[in-house]
Amino acid sequence: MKSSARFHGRWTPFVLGLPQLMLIVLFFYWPTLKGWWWSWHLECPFGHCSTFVGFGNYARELKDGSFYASLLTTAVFSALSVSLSVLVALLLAGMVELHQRSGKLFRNLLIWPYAVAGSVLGVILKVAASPSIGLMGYLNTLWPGFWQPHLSGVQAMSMVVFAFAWTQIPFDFIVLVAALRSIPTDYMAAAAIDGAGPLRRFIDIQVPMIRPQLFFVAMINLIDSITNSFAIIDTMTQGGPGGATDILAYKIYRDGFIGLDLSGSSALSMLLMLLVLAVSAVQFVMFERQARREA
Amino acid sequence: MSGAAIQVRGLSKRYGERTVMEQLDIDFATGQFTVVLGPSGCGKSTLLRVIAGLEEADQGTVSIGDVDMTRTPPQSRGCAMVFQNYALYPHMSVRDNIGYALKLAGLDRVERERRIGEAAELLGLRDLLDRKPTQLSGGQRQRVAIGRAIARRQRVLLFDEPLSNLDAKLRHDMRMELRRLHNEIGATTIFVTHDQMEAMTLADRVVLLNKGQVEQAGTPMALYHQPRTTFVAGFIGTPPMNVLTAHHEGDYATIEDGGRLHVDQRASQRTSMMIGIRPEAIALDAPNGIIATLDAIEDLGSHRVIYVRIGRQRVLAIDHGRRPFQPGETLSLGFPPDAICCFDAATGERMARVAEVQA
Amino acid sequence: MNMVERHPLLKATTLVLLMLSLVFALGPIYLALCSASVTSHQILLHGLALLPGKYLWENLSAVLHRADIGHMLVNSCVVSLIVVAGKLALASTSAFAAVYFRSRVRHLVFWGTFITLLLPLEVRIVPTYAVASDLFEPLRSILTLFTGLHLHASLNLLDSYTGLSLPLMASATGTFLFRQFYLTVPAELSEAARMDGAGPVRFFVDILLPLSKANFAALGTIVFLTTWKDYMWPLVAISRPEMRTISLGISTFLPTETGQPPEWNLVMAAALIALAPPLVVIGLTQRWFVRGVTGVGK
Repeated sequence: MKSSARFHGRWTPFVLGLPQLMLIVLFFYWPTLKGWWWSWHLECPFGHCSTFVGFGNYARELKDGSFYASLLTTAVFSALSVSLSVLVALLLAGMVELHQRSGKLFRNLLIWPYAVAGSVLGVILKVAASPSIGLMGYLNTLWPGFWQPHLSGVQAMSMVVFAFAWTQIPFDFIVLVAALRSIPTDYMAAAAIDGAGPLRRFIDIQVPMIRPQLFFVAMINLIDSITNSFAIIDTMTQGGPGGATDILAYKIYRDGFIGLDLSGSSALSMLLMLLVLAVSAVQFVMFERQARREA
Repeated sequence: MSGAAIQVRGLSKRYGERTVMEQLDIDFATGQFTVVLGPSGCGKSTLLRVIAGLEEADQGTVSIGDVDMTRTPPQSRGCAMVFQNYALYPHMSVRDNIGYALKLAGLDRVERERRIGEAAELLGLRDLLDRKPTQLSGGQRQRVAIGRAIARRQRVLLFDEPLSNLDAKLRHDMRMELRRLHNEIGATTIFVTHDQMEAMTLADRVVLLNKGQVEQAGTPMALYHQPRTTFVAGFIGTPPMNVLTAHHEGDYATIEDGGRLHVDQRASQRTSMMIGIRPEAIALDAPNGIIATLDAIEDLGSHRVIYVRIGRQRVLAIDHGRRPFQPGETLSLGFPPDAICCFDAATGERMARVAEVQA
Repeated sequence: MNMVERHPLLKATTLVLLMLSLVFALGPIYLALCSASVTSHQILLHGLALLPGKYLWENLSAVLHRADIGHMLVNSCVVSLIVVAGKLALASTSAFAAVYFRSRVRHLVFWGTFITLLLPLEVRIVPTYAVASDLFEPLRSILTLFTGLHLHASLNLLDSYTGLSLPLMASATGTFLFRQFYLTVPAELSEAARMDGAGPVRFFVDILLPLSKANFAALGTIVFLTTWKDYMWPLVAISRPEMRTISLGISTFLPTETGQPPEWNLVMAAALIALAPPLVVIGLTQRWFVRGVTGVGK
């Protein structure tokens, strides 16, 4: 791109950009600042009194065992669901690319789950996983009392991990298929002539060459698993049993809207923001490094 | 349609740290076809864009038709432009592409149609008017871009390397056509290119730019036969002029391991100088000439390119004869006196001409 | 790429695996379809149906006749379309301001919106709720801070279409898609337009918008789908049942612990109704959808 500007005008760009900026200020910067403010003050629930308490809210949260439990739950949930969705999507993309004719059909069908909202999937799976009428009920006829997701934390967690990964796979799949198709065919031809079969080519050529996109989808999944898994948790487990699926975003919601503890939930929000920002920063740095290597 | 004279005065342009041009003065005469020639990065495109008003100069003024237009927006300068990649609006038909500027200028439908028809006629686009740019070949797109520019009937036509995306055959055809169009339209035309062949065939006047400065301006033949500097000598002509280092002493120039030439300038003491000679001026079998060794021959059918060495210096000659040559053969080269250019070794500028071969 | 290769075993294995994954991918949808087409009695007796039954239309119409799901569908459509329209308009214009002008506003627009990519709505949900419940609060605070005046205007956006859609528009993904696209439009095109006498607004309307059609379609599809599927913001911003969107309202179909005998077939029928419109959108706009996903990054 040429460095020169294309149009002059002091007010035109301002007028064009203003609506977007106003909206962002109102619904992004202002709430973020407000949350920041609350996190340092003790607020009456949606009232109009507040006292500055410094680190008080943070200290309270950081001393609370349930914060660390929730953090750990978040870590486990994110790690499992992200690796599951990226791995499955990668394998699916690789396999679809292997099949010339049927590949197109699979490609079109495998993206359908994108249409299913987290809450809708949550409802369907909750019914499907019900010990009395659901599919897993068959396990209980073999081993009575084995499948109890409303009692077993491990089972509840695996349920939401499966559900969340399911909602993420179509996105990962689409990106990775596009990535695989962008590899110049010369590389694959050269490897084939060098004697590498399809499996070898997948491991030695395709996967290394789409590493940036793999990293990209992993990061998107990671941030999504921290923030966007709410619908599934809320419809399937409500954070239970016994806090086994109580990830941070859910805890913030419960503390803020059900417990009406604005200060505590704001302090938690700030910590969550830090977490998300850290992830984004890692992503940004890696992308910069990648870009510099390519340049 | 008549043209307008353009004066550029004291033009300076920097991009960040990099200075593209410094205090440049150029004039373009009314109705003349001027080719601005130069290697990439010499500032020729910047000059064109500053004249068009697409870019602002850091210093200096541009006047068109004796009116200072330095601060005038592009559409009011009376210039039309043809871009390197044509810049046709992809979603508009050929007709709409040509007519867009006319519509913006507020011309009514009848007048617009008339002008579009005229431009189409002139460029042979009549049957393509309803096509989209993607349905056209490269040469056809080029014609549409030119048609769009001339339909506006501006006093100044600007071309930014418009032929560089065409293949050799089309480029040749377009050159002929551009020249014909210019003769019909008569607008002041500035044509920017790095291709010296285009400059030689199209221009009334060539301006050779180097590092943001005018290296030489004049008719194509003046640049070819009387290059002002070694840079011009090396830039114009395929193959370019041979430039050899020599020692100047008395009124003789001595080429190491080659022999002596008589020049009409006296040097009181032994100094360095440069001798320039066009490949086609060199005679290959001159009695008592400069001694050279033949390296290789390229036979192009119409002529042969002969690669020779004089001492350690490489020289190209063009031969139209049929005599068989052997690599390694020793040749005696004749440098006709009126074809020799002498350059000052320190400044690279031409000193004078005249010389005589002496054994 | 079509190479002459024979790997029958690999081909067969991967084909089986692909079919298996298709079962997993479409399983939940299939399950909903089957269980939505049998009677409630059948499910209580035999568990969820694995084969389609005969009562799909009965169940669907039973669910649709509960007035609230009709409301929910309308709400989802309205909110999704508002967000699509708003985001397309905001994204195309703000990206234009960010790419085609040199003024400092361009950096302001760029960085101001770039930051929003880093923090999704979900992590600032509580204060966003507070802002939506009292839109003029920032204005009042600033006024009080600088002039000492107290303003008494207030505007509560909760339980309204405006309140549901505005915060969902306040992100930069669309702006970035358009910015990427504008950067690929040759600079010569805008220069040609300037030479032809077009100002920025003319260029935007006559040249840039027609060229952006594909991007509008792609972004529109993605925004429609994500808005339709959104759950958390409607959950906190809506308290009146008639304002619920379908993705939010779907959980109200789950039986409560102490309620009537659960009608699982109707729950599944409701789920089917909730996922049908986005599925149709994906089916109809496959090309734009895929393009949008790879372009927007979700």
